[in-house]
Amino acid sequence: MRPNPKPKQAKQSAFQTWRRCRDAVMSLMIRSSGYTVVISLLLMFVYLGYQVFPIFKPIQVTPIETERLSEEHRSSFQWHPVNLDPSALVYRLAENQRSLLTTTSDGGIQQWFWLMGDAGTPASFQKVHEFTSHRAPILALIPESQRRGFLSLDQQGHLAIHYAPTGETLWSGYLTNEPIKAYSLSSSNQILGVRLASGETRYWHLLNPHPQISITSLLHKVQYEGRNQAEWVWQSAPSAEYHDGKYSIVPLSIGTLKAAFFAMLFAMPLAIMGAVYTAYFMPTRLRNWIKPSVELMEALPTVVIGFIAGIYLAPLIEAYLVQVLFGLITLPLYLVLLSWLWSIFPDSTHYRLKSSLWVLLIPALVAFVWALPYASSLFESWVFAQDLRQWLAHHNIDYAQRNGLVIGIAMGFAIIPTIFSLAEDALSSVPKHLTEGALALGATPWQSLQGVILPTASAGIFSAIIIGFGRALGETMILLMASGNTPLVNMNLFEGMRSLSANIAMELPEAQAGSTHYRVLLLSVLILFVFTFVLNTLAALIRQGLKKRYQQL
Amino acid sequence: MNRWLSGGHAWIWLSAGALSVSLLLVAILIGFIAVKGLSHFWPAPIFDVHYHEQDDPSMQRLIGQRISYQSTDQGTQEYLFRRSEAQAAYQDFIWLTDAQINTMTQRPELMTLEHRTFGRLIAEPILLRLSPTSTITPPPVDWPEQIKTAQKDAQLTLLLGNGEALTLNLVDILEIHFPNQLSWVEKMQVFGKGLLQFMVESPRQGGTEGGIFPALFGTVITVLIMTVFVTPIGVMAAVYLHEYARPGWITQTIRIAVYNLAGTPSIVFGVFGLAFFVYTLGGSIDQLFYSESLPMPTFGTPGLIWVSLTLALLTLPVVIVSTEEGLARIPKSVREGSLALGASHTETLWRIVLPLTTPAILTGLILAIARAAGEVAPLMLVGVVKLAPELPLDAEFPFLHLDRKIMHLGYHIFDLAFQTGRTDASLPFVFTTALLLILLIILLNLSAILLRNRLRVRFQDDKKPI
Amino acid sequence: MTPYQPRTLPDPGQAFPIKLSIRDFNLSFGQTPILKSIDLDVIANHVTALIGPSGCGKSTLLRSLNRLNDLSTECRVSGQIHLDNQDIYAPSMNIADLRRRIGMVFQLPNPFPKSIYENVAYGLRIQGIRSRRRLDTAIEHALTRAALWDEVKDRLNTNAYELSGGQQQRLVIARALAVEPEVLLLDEPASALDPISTLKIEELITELKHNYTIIIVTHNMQQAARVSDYTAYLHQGTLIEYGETQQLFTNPRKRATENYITGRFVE
Repeated sequence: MRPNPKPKQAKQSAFQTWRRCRDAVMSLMIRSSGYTVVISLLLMFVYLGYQVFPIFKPIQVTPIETERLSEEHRSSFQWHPVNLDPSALVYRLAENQRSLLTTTSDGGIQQWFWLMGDAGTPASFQKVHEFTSHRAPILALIPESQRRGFLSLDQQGHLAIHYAPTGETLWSGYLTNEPIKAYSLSSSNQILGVRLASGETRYWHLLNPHPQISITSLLHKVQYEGRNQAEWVWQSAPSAEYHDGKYSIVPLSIGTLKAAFFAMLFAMPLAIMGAVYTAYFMPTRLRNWIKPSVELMEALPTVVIGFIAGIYLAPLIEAYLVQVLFGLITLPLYLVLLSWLWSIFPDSTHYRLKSSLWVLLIPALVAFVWALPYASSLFESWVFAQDLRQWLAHHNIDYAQRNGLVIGIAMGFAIIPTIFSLAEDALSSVPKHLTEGALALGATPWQSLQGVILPTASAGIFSAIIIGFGRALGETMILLMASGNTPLVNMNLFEGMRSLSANIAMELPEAQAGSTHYRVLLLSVLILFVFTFVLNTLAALIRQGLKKRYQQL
Repeated sequence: MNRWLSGGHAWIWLSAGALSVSLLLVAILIGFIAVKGLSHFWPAPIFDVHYHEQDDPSMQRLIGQRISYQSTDQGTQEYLFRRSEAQAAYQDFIWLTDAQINTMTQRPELMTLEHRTFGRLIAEPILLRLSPTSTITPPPVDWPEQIKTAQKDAQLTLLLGNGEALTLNLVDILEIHFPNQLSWVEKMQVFGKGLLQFMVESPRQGGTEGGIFPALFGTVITVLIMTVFVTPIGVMAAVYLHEYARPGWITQTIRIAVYNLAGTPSIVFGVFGLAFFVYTLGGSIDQLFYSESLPMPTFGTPGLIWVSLTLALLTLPVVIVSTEEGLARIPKSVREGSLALGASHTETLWRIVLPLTTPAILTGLILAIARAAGEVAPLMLVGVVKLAPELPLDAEFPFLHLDRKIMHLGYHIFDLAFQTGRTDASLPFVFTTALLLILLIILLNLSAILLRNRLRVRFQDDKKPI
Repeated sequence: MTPYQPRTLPDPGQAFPIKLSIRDFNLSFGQTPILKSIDLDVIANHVTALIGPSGCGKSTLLRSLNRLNDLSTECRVSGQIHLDNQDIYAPSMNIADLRRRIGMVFQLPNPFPKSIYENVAYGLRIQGIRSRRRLDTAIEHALTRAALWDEVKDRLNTNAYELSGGQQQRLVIARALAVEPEVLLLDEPASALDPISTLKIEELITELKHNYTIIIVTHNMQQAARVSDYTAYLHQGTLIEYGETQQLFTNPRKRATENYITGRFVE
């Protein structure tokens, strides 16, 4: 009952075709999934860049045909006659009269702030900016509504668009050769109408959505009204008069770096030394147990760490500041002392206790914690002769409850496992024969570690540090909950900070899509992204190089 | 001295110390959270306390649960009481020292109860009105039984610590306990029941009462939907890297991209999720399919699907790395055996290699889920809210509502600890939620570690010569 | 030493056709040449043994016949290999189909981590055969021919890893036979087995050559002498001598061959 060979043949070939198609589809899917990884990363870059780009777009001023504006729209314009006496131009820029603009006969514009003098001197107007884009006497200064920008028109028909806080002229160019009689700026700051001497009315469209953003306002110190000197200010909430926020990314970047720096200071010694001990001095049985526990530690949600740090650690540190600082400094010294005592004992004791060294350590640490209050209060009265907090206040060092110290410890704690496990990998994958070679030459384990392993694994440890640093830069929840979120520019251990990441988490949900605020926040994300991208790529290249080197050894 | 230097003893001790300190910190952290979180459900004894304030000699009274006590520097005892909080003027917790306390009595009829609107009350019952004519006053021995069997229209009059009487309808009382009468076993039962209720109930009173069920549910459903997205792409990307890609700059680029996805701060993913998924992608979906309901956004606003997609992007490298590790462990001979039988590359992959890699893929997925469950920052941007009115899964078509906003354990912690006004009242809940989240994540990680270890052992056996 | 250059069959008068013909075949991995200008004709329904010191390229030559070397990106080939007058390195060649027609058994038994039944059914399922009845028949047939049926017929659903090494190797042979190949490549099939299992495998080879063309790579010269009809001796990627086994072992034409088979060769 064999089937007819011919249909079988046909069926078989159809099956083979189907098989080939199926394979092709699968291969295509697998390949595209592989590329998806790169594409999604690229998409993130490109998309964020695309969203940020408009804030750096130059201003466009384009004439509009009068007919394109509806009658209704045109009639809504409020016309102001130009001032032909150049010496008489004084403009209030702000409603509260703290900021004034004056002009000179040669077309110069000055900006003045009403400032309180130093200690006792009376308040006065002080010149803060000078704009020199005009060559002819100014006809009109036109403040924009709800933001700190203004326009200026001169007798030659030259228009300039300025932004007062940065003292920058954003655009300038000629509108017309004819004398100008009156002008009008729409409340959206987008349409400028000019009435000429001939009676003709012309309109221009001003595309200037983000005047407050420039390299100057993002990176340089800016003197805002009511402030005595130029500062880096991040203040995104709109004030009563202005809807343009103060967007300097310097405080946020400094805050990010400060937090990461203190965290690294805390985490790096603990993590790397812990890794060295685990990789080289710990019995294998114990090691198999330690590695997973560190992995578990890595999985601890940072929101929990941030919560404990913000609610419990911060008040605790405030109450026991001396003890904490003294403990952090003396603990290493204490361990060094212990090790010296240890080396006095004969070798036989060492041998017996070798594997349980760190079990011995726990009581030693407990003793340390027990003795800490006594020792630190002695230290406090000896060095500062008073309470440390009083001493700090006396030396004008501010103390905030949620500060760099809290962040250093909490975020340091969060990045220890990252650095630890990568460093431990780098150390323990150094080929065994290298160590054995050194040991065979009579080196102590420590010498072989120092002379052979550490140099070999140093690149790996370095990449672990980079990755840990990258993680510290991007960590959000701990900073959000325990840093105080004050956008300050300093490196004071006892003051708070606001990081890029925490700032984004706080403000982005409220920022309106497409607004300047939104785009500046996206810019700060992009900065974070680019920075960590560089770090991660560097670490990845180092690790790949290291892998090759280990294979050659 | 010389030996001390050359042996590097100082360094060894320092490194051992570093490890011990790190591990101690973890142990302290988890222990602290566990004690704080669990003690909330333990029916602590209730005391009727007469005391005076530190600077005010006049006598006051409170009826409260003694949560903890400790010795002070002066050698006296210090007690922490939780008081009932029907009146806003009350603080919830109070520390009292021996010196402040005049009398402290632990009477059996003192009770705790959960009220529908007042929350937890700690009080002394004075009158049970079974019907307009029949009333009971304590302390008969069967007092608890009387309350339990009373009709729903019965009324209970309580005396609060400040001497104020409060009459409540029994219908509004959710639960009654007499901690002073409970045996140890019964206390355990109350404890277990409280914990269970915490997991299955919705939050009340701004998260200071009730449970966290919606947050737990939201967390679980988010990671499940994330798994649907991340599994195929992650596994296939790993297959591409390990089986298809030839060494060269493209492979190098992909590997660096994987490292980068793993190392990029999660907030960046959150922002990308909000800007691209929610506003751009969601906005386009609304324009195309839900234009009739615009300008009310359907998908153009943060929601479940975007949370899951963002998390999928975030956890993609975890799955890729783990799967690739699994693929690398499969012996070459098995692949060649399949190819030599006339199977194509894809057939070998599908029928032989991937089934063998399943444990590794599972490990990767579990790790991805653990990572996703602990993330908070990106979720705040793409769809997690403090209180979601509806669960994303219900009986209404299409049953799974991908556009709904959800609650999440991690965000619940953040919200309760920092956004809620009544910090004292919400803290026990924060601790319990944190404990639950940590346990969930530890459990997931442990299972991943065990699975991975078993996998390693299995393939080591295979490599033994026969 | 001058390479052997046969243009004719070792035994021109015999009645069997040439199954595989290798002409001027070169293969290199990266810059390293592995096989140099191999010319060899394999006669149908006979056993051809490839012998030579390790690293001489005999396994590579075997793997060239079903294009398993293609898996390595570094591999470059030139020359021709014809299977029944069909160039197997032609672009139009369907590699999967080629590998079905040329079965292979490896040095270490490599059953799939599936049941015994599924191991043998694997190749058939790949070919799109779903019918349980056809599978059952084919599997019984293959296992019988591999002399394993009697040992496993009661436990077809147990995992293949539970079989002994010798049984596993016969299972792998059965797996290869199930897809009805024309040629069977054996890469040191008994090197990892105990003497009794080896004996069984050798008996099996002798049995199978009535239906298949068999090429076997072996380290063991006694084995080559026992099971093969023709033997080719390779040295450093070059085919030194090829001829009837009896003649090659008793009266080698080349000094190098003689040195190797008498054990005077120093590896």
